[in-house]
Amino acid sequence: MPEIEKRSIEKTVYELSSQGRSTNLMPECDVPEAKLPVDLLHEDLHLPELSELDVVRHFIRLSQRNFCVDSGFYPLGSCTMKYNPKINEACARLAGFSQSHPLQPIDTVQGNLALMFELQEWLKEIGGFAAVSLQPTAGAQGELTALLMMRAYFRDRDETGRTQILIPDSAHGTNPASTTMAGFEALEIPSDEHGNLDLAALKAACDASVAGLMITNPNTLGLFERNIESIVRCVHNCGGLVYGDGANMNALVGAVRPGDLGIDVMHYNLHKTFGTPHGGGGPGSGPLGVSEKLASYLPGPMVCRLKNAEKSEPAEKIKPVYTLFTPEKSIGRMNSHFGSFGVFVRAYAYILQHGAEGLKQSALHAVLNANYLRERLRGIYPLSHDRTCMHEFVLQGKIEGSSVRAVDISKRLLDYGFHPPTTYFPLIVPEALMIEPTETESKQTLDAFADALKAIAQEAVDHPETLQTAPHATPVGRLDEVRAARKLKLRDDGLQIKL
Amino acid sequence: MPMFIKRVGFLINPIAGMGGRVGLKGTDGLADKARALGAEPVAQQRAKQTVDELLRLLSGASSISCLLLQWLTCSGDMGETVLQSAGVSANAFEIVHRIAGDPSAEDTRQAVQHFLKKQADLIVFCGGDGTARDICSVAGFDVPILGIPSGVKMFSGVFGANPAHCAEIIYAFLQDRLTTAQADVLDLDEARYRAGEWKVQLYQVALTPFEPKHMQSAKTLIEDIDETAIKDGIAEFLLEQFRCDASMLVLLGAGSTVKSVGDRWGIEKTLLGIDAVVNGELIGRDLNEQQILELLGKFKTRKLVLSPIGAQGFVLGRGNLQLSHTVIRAIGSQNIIVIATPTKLARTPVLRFDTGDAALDRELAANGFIRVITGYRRRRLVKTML
Amino acid sequence: MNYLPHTESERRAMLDTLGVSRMEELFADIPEHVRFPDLKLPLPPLPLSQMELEAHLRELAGQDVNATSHECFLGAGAYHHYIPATVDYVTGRGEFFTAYTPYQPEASQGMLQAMFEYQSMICQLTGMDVTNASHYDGATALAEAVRMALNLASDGRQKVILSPTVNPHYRETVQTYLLGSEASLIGEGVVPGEMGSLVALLDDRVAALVIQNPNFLGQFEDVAGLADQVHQAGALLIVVTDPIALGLFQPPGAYGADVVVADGQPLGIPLSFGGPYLGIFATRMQYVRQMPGRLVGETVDRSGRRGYVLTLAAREQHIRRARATSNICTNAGLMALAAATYLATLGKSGLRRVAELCYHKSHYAAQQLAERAGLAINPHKPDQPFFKEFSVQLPRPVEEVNRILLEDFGIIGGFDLGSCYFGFEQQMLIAVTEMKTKAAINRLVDALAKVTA
Repeated sequence: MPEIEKRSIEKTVYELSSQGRSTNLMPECDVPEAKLPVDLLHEDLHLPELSELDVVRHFIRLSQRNFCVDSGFYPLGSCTMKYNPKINEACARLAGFSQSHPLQPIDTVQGNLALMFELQEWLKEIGGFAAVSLQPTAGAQGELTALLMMRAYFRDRDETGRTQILIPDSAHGTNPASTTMAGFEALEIPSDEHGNLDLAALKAACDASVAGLMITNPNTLGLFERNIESIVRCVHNCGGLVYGDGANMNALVGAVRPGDLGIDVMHYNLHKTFGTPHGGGGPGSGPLGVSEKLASYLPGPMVCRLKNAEKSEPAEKIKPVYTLFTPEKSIGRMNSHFGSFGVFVRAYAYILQHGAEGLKQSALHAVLNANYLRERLRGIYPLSHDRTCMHEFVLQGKIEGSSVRAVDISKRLLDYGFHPPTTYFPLIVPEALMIEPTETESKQTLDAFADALKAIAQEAVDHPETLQTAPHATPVGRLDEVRAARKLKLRDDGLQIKL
Repeated sequence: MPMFIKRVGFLINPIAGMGGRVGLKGTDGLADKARALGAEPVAQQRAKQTVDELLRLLSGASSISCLLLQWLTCSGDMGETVLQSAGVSANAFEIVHRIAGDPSAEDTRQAVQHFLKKQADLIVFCGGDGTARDICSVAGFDVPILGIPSGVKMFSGVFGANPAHCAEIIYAFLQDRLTTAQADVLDLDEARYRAGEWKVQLYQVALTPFEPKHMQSAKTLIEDIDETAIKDGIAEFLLEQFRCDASMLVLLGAGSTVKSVGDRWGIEKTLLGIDAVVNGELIGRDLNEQQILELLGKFKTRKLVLSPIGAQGFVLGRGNLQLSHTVIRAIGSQNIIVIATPTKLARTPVLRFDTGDAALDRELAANGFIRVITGYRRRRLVKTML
Repeated sequence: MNYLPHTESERRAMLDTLGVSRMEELFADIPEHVRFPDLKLPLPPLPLSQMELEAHLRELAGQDVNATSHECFLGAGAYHHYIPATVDYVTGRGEFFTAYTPYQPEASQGMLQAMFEYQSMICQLTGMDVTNASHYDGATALAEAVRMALNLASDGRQKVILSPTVNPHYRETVQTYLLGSEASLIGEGVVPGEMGSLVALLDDRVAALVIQNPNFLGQFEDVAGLADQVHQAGALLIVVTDPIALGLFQPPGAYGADVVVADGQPLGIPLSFGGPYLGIFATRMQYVRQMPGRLVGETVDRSGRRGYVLTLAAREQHIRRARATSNICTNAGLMALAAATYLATLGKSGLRRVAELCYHKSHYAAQQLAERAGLAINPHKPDQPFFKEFSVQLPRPVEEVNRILLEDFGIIGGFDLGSCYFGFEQQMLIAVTEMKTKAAINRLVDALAKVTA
């Protein structure tokens, strides 16, 4: 194997390990040693043995093999990869936030509770909802929580015959999975030729067996459901509830409040809309906003503000006191504590830096950027639906006179220094490339990206094999995913394992 | 890097597709007539497009590919000519069957026998439904087949979309990047068809390379490899719905999707026939119209489980002629349950009914949509068309 | 605006390209009567500059007592352990934390390999074959484990025995997750720590038995022969554990667990008021296809170079049985990275050392509290060994004692067991980690001696 290829492989922590090597971080034991229950101890523990420098070099080298927002444009559709302000990171590390224990008495964590309370209130206002629980730890958990609440709601109304959840065919894959997890049945509704939910189909589906509709608006084609009010009315008329998937909320903050459209319950993705980092796959946070009728089913604990009873103090000196409560008919707890508190701090900081006008400007610019980029790519790639888009849009990765596919275009973008768009989603568009630029990208970046896609379109005709074998500039080339699934290797076997 | 050898059986039905242009519905047994009417062979040209594209794909990957492709084919117009003209070197193909005179269905069957003997990994053919039927009558389940579309009739599920697409499938399959799936092989009775009757018969089920449709769930690219698991889910969901009524007659329709439901339930379901199940027990197999009507007289509650057959999305009227309009009326349209995997539905986004009774067809097509079970606790509203 | 880069002329040029005069025109699809509402975001006056923001958040954070401002003896599922500087250094790299879930493997080898190494090390730690790339936290990992056990039980088993010594918050979470199913949880009425009574509940309707070891009260459960009994009854054994304890003590895999779950917070993740944490989930190879969550697998690229990808993705949301495998999507990638860095930094000897220090220091604290404050240690089961937490019987309400500890001694006291267990009134669960010096322990002992005198 040539030298260069050898270098491009980073050894694993086990391969780097040398027997007997260690970094001593721990002090001497300053108390008398207690007797150990010998029969409960393990024989040996196979963890790597490394120096601190080994560890640092290893993980830093790994970091250099990762694409990120901090290093380049990341137009991954439906993921809202906007800039993550660094000040928010610094704030989340403040000891009061990062070193407080979740079970401390509430009067010792008033700062935390105040932050959570304000965030709840702001999200209520932004979404137009009666109540917000911060507890769900990700969008998918928000979905599950909402569906379990809907279940409890119908049980209380003796409407247990409502077993169907309607889901548009353009929906995120988590929607049907959450539906089944919550004990409902999913009924997929097709989209019409304009990319909107097919109203005729919806009407055909709405009956007394419907518990609700899960709808993403703007939908995954990046289009605002023009018929949203008719859709909501149709579902409400048959007695169902409407769930809004808030994954695409970045287009709507300050532009419209989902609650005003009649949406009964929606999750927010703090890690999309409110600028908290995605962490390479979490932590996320998926707070849930609900209308009045579902408010008492929210998972607890939530935060509320008490009126201070001591009247002797002058009014302006009365400090609000925050406490925890669980709503009356709460479905219960969705995780160990309050959800992703560290993410709340960042989202709180994000909202404070923007204010109402700033949030609206972000949505306006997210939509401007998407439409501008879409216009720049017109004529180079087929547009799935030619109408004004919201914060994202879908192209088809097809080039006249070339056999390249969407995946080839995506991989080739990596060679140009751009992260690929979301590829092959939504499913209803063949060879879909779903592009979400976000508001934090400059015109120069958008132009450079459009130029790259244009150059790639030319390559697709001139040298299709360059695309079909791309990427070329990454540490590894296209990986064999079938082999990974067939010859499962899910852990390092670099050492002798006793099992 | 180790080399690996893949063998592809390659066969062209040189007269396939000739009939279509001159208004003949199929060319089986009518090649001379077609020629006399001025039909030109199209199969050669389409097959060559596939081979050209495949060679291009293989050359593009040459630096890293260690794949050695060995062609097995027939002499002359049944394969040899195309391979030669595409520039396949003589040592890369082997003539396993020589034809004398006009190529016939028998030549096809013999060639396939030789392909099997030589351990072909894949059989690629250029033709239509008739050719597919001839091939899988010999190949059975032993080796996957892929059709380059060139016939007049292509109802079967073994064809690629166009010659270039076929090349991509072959290329991916040879690199072990694809699995196989079951597909229905249908053909219509050409004699009756030419007489104006449209009777498609389900002949058999074959294996075909399954192009893992890139599905994306929750923004993750997933390969929906496992159709079996989806069918299991459908079977389980049906079971859940039927469990509560032990005296209900369940009629299971034709085709591989419904058969796999039977498999899952642990009964010996026929592939092509209509079978009857009560309380988990098989009480009748391969029933004809009369037998079905008799059973319907005995059971008060009944369900009929169907899946669309072939490439045109017919739920009734293709491959299940036993289910006449009399039978369907006796069953009741509200008792019909349609099942299909999402992959299959992607190919047939509109479903049709052709019972020969227009009023009944309208009733079945409901208000333009029907609910199709696509997985465990999962349905899809699908457009219907008359 | 803070993070919007366009200059006025650029914005104008972009609008011209689109043929519109104002950005607002792009929102015409939104019904007019609800378009552009006037959002009323309450105090403080917005927006804040970065400088003002930091000051405001400092003020807010300053209101909180925390484990660095006070001596913290509170545990009960979240622990104040030492976090090596390497952990924050690595997880603070933008290359990791500003990336999305690694869907494009060629551009995500760093995160993927780190997850693969996380999986490898957790397998070693738990004694299991396969580990997924994380859940939200310990409670949700357990809920998913219970759902997996119910999914695997093809014979209609619909009951799960949940030991009362499993973290009460975990038990509540499992209950919520099962609201959509017909499954029921049993075992709540069993006296905590009575393994025999739990085993007696096994029958042919039980899909799994769940224990926590060391349990919520800090003690080791009697697991000898347990797995055999569970397996003979046709059920799975699910064990909730503390990853730090595994530096020294037998992993659940060694005594027959089928699924091991834990909260990975002790592995280099700050307390952070309860989240984000890390759900650890490990199981046996035979269940890999039913396992929820993401998995990273090793493979090669076209030129044979080693690389990593998310694998078996189809099973993630594959809805096959009564309960979908799982809907989990975004999970806790950065937290798993923290745990991987933590385990690599401490290594074999380091983790053992942490576990030993926890063990010795908690035992010293218990012994001192018994001797010098005259308090009964683990009154319900005094002879059962414990790891880093133990309970003490106080003569007055725990809440009262904690208030005095906090106000007069600067100590965050332990967890009030009476708040969730009958018969444990006025018992405090005290956690002693390697972070507690002998002097700090002595201060706690002195303080408790005074308060309870």
